[in-house]
Amino acid sequence: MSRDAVASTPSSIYLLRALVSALVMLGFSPGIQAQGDPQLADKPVSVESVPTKANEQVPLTQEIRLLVKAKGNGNSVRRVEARLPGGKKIYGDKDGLLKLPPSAAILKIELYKSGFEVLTLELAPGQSEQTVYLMPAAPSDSNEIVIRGEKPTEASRKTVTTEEAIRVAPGRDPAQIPRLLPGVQVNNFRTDIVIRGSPPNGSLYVIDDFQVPFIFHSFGNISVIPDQIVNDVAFSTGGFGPERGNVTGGVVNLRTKNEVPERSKTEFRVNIPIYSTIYHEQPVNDGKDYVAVSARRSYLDLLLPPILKKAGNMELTVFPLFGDEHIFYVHPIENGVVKVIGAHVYDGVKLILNSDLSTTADGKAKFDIQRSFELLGVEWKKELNQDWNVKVEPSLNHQTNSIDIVNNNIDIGLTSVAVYAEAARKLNGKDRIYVGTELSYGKANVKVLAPEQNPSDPFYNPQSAPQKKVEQVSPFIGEAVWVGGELNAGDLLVMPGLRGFRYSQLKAPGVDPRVNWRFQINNAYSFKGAVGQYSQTPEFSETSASFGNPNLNYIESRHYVLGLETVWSDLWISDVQGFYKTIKKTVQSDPIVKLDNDGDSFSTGMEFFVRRNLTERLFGWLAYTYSINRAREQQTQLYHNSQYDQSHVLNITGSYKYSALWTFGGRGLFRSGNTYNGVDYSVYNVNLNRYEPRQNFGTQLYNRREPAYYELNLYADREVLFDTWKLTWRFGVENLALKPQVQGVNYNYDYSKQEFVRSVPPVPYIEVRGIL
Amino acid sequence: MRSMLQASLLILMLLNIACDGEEDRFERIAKLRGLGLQTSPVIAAPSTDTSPSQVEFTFYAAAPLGETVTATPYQDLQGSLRKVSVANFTVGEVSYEDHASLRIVKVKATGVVPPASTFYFDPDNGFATARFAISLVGQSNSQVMVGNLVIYPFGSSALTTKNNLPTINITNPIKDGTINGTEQEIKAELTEVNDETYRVGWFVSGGRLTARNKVSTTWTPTGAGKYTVIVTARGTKTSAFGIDVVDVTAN
Repeated sequence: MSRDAVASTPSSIYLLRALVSALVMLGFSPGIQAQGDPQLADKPVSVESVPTKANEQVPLTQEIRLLVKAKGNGNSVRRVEARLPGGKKIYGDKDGLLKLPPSAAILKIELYKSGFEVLTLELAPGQSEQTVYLMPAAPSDSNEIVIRGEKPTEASRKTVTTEEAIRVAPGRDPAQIPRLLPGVQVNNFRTDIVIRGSPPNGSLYVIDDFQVPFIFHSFGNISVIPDQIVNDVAFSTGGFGPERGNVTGGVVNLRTKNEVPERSKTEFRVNIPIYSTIYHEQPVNDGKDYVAVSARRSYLDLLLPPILKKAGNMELTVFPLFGDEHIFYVHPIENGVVKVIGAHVYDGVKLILNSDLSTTADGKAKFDIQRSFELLGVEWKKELNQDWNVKVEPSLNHQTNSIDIVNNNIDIGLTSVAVYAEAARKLNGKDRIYVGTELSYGKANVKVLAPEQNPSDPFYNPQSAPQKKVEQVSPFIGEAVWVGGELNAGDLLVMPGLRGFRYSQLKAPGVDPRVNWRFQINNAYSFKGAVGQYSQTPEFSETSASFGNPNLNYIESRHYVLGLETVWSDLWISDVQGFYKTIKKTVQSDPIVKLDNDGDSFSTGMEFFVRRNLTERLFGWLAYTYSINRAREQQTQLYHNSQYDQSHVLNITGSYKYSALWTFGGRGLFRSGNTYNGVDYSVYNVNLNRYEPRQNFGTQLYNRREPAYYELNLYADREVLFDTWKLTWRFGVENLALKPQVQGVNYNYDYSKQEFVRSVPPVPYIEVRGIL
Repeated sequence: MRSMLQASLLILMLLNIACDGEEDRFERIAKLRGLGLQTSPVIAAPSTDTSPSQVEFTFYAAAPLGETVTATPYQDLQGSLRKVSVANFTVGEVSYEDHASLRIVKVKATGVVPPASTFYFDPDNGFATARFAISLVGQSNSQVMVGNLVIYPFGSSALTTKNNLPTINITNPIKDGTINGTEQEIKAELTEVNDETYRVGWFVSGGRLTARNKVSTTWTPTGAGKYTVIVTARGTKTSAFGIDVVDVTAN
């Protein structure tokens, strides 16, 4: 449930009023002007001044000590330059302490430090130590690059740092970055992503090297870990190396920080109307380590029910819920680091409504869909010597999926112990070879109380078919080993890899060969490519004897990528790629064996990516993807549009820092409409008392397409600085468009009328973030 | 699990279908619509070389008063994966039963169950099915009605124990009675047979129901006038069918 739903009600008016009130408050807010504000520059600032009579001679006593800190966070400002009368300069130390000579008269000085505004002080004689705060300066127009990220080696991998992500990502959330990059399709009703035509469950989500079942909450478009512990996002749309497997699409890797912060920090956020979060990080062990904890919780389940109480003829109660808690510990060691990550993530939705689907006397139907995962992982990474570095990462994992629909229940629990380990050795020059293993041992517990979908049942209807209770406990084992290398031959870098794997769900092991290459034509141009096989097991339940077919095979995908990277200047880079991907042996329904591997699909297209590197003022990019995605259920059929076909996807995103306190930004999305199955007519089923849609004979699946979709999201950030902490107000509006956009298709009871489901009007929001 | 999740999503999507406008609701009959099917016998045995297994079909539909309907056999090429169809499916007479606001249309048809060698009898459930379909064409719209006939092999006890028809009677509102035009309870009395559960379906010539598949629910007429209220019941395993129709006047 998105915040869109709220905006359709008069409550949106209250939000607008709150927005106006907040703007008025900020505009007329007194006393928040920081020291060093240009408007105050000519006014003498006296810090704990001692009144003196004119011409009174005060005996010299002691030096004046100033502790210089940054306004807004209270961090010490190192090596600040103090200019005294007569041109003398004195510098502060690394702890921000500035020692000034004793003075018999009022001492007028100016403090200079790059990145801060000049501060003019008048210090009366006899003042002892005091603290002064420097105001951040307006961003420079020098276009100096703030971050020059790592050079990606794999053909289709892109890395975005947290500093870059918070400038452009929805909700400043680094995990949302993949949605803005080429090769990705986004659906309004789906929080996961489709990468180059692969289904949502065809991609891998990892936090460092710990696999997680999902990376976005179902509601609110929030990622499952706090962005404060994220260092960067490494995103691959295909052609990745042998260290990742059991997926056919891409990999989203949220990589956490290694560095210990200098001081503690507490941050809270209040996002109206969706959620709140609190985060705290603390150096420990005499500053050698640090620990961070965070908690987030939505409150839509409290706000929505009274708003959505009446919907048509139904009494509708909605309880969307999401939240997470984390603990993160970093312990740097010599030439390495040890990290511990603990996470508890949950989300879901409950619906209670009057419905024809009800099986109880009160006529109410209850829907309850919940999911969660818990992770406890330890990373140990170390450079053993000049040649070798290793990492070992054991973890405990538990995940649950619970679906309760009108007294039909499906509960799946997975508990596992996993180890991810890799050792790398440098060879001659820049060459490198690495070997690794990924082991997972666990148990799946499946409980089902639901109508068995029996093809032989003549009048199968989940509403009234007899329920079958099945409980199944199944151990599972996943084992993978890989070897890879980075081999340089002049300007050519070749990265071969081989992954072997075996999963207990399937009888046979498998092998995936892969290779990436990069040829540096000159300083400006790099030619790159990748070819590889990527195998994936069917879903666990699909190979179950109770629910599926234990004789299924691996789903096999082959990736072919060619690309050209161009560095136009320090500020501008571009990346053009062509790709072709096949996915064979996809799982399809079968009337005899329930499921088989008879389906296949392919995806091909071009991606254009133009990026303006991050400077103090400006950052952003343009990402455009053109793709053709086709699928079929049987080898004898013709290909039809894929369920995940969005021919054109254009993302433009950017951020402009106007001043020290104001930042403006936005994102624009244009995409082709989603495909759907057109209904040509319907028939009345006398056994089930309902209408069933039909297509004309010979009509292919997903033969129709919704109208194109676009939206614009804009925001303005205003920082309010206090001495040791700051507030950041974000005023934003989402889903801006000239008219409500199509997000889906709806039909009446007999499919004789079709209408498009449209988005609601633009939704303003306010987010307050405090950092202490 | 894929199918379960798809069913879950389908059910959630059905919420949208349920959110019809005031006039365009499932229970409101405003054009030619199917109501159900009664077969005799309820469940059938396969034909033998010497004895064809005849089945008589009575299709029930509702239409606006005065609407005439023609009926022909229809071949449903999609839907069920079962390929076996009722043989010699012949459509007979169309008759009408006029009520206060609706016309009940009855279409007779006959067919022959194919021989046992044609069927795959499910080892767990013991039965097979045969497909049938009919097309009704009215003056303003047409209606295709499809379904499956349950077939049990010779000697199956189900042919004796599950071959009964349920009865369903509307107990409120009273036939030809007078009601007020506000929301009120409507109820039916169902006699279950064949050791199976039943799916109830209400239809009205106007107004809206809160739960059209409950034996007891509430109905809000659209105002003063004459109404026709219909209730149906069909077995979830045999599709044994029952129907009742009452006329009422709202003040």
